[in-house]
Amino acid sequence: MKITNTLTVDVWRQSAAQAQGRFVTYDVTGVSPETTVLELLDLLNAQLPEGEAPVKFDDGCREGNCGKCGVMVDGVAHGPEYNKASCQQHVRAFRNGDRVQLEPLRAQSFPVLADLTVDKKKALRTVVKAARGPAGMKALTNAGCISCGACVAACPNGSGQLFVGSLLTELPPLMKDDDERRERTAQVISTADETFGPCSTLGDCTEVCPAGLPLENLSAVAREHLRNQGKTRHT
Amino acid sequence: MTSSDIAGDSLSAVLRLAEQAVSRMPATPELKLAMASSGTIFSAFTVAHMMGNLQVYMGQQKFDDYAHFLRTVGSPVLPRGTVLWFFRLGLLASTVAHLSCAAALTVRAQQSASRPRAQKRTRPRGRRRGVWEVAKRSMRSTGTVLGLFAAHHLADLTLGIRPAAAEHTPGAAYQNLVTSLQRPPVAALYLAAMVALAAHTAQGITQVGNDTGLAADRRTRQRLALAGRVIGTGVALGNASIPVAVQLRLVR
Repeated sequence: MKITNTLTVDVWRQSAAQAQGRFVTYDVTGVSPETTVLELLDLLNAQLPEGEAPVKFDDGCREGNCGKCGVMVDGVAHGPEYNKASCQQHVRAFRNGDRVQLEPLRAQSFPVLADLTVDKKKALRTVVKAARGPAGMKALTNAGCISCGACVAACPNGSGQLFVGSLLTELPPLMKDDDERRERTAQVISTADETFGPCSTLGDCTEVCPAGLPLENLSAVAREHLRNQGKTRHT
Repeated sequence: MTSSDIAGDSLSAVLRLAEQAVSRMPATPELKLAMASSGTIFSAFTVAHMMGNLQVYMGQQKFDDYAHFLRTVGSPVLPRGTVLWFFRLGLLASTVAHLSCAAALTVRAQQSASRPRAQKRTRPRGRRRGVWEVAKRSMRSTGTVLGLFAAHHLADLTLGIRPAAAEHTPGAAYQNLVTSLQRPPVAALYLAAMVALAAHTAQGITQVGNDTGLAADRRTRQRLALAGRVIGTGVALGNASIPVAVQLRLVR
């Protein structure tokens, strides 16, 4: 027999970007231990009372590769398990009858669009653009980053340094010369400074990162910044 | 306009001024470097200061001689107190840098963060925080404790200002220390400050590695984190032994 549980879910409902949001409580039945966070939302939408608009949430490949999804479960970005995207997070951490809070990823740089959907691409993309597009994208791919933005939401400072540091760790080998490296890393650092908060090396980001990016990547920001201050040109 | 409107207006004006001031401060990586360098100076100072403190166990004569040495080192080549004031001014400048950068970084962090609106709940199972995890996110509170303690400590043992100080005789370092730490509230404050020092130093040295780019690989990062914990707890335990010894009448 299949085990099914009932969870009480507090979901952030917000009709539009400018609207006032609030938590609405629903009971979701038929939750099994292998249900993922996104499947929990699917179940909720199927069980919504007559006339209520479905809960909007960011959804993608559901394989943990695309970086599109992401919600906060009880204040933790992506969900209760370490280093997994929301679509790969199982709700087996919760017992029958538990109360769970679902919120959009929270950061000043990620405005809420509606319900659980946020505009995270804009903030993340400005930083990649500062590295001039393709090279920035390639660097992120080489680092293993899927640009899900969970590191920013997990950070109590709203810092994106795991994202920025991973980009800067992998950017230098893609640069054609020292001048280009200096110019682009400086651009990335100043754009990140305007977009995200300062890093306090707390490591909350590395607990949630689905790609499992290491804390060492954070230091690339300081390293490239200091390197850019040096007069010696490397050829 | 009601008085609460005026209060609200002036508060928002003050906040606007603070935001402007913070936006004129240097970029975050520069502030972080200033935090790291001043913090490193403080860490080195706490180690040196503890080694000086531990001479209390070598008796009154030795300790008072050491205190005298600190005031006269460098003379007669340099005027008396030159070296002492060189270090004092260095620490003062570090304090100014550390506090102002911390304030600016705090404002920037709060501008960028958007806390979950959910009321505080216990963290999910498997995500409960240990002592060091709590310590590392308490830099502002432990820093405040250390700042207030340093102010009390200077008024008590350097300047001899009442009521911070007990019976204070200039130059009688050993006697001043013993009479001060014989007061249980002062000994308790000292111990509390040492807990804060251990927590602040441990995370501080971890952050120095990150903010200077030193912690480029996992081993270096882990070594720096370990060094932080060892130096922090080592200095804290060394210092904390003194009020305990005074309270137990082992030093009197």
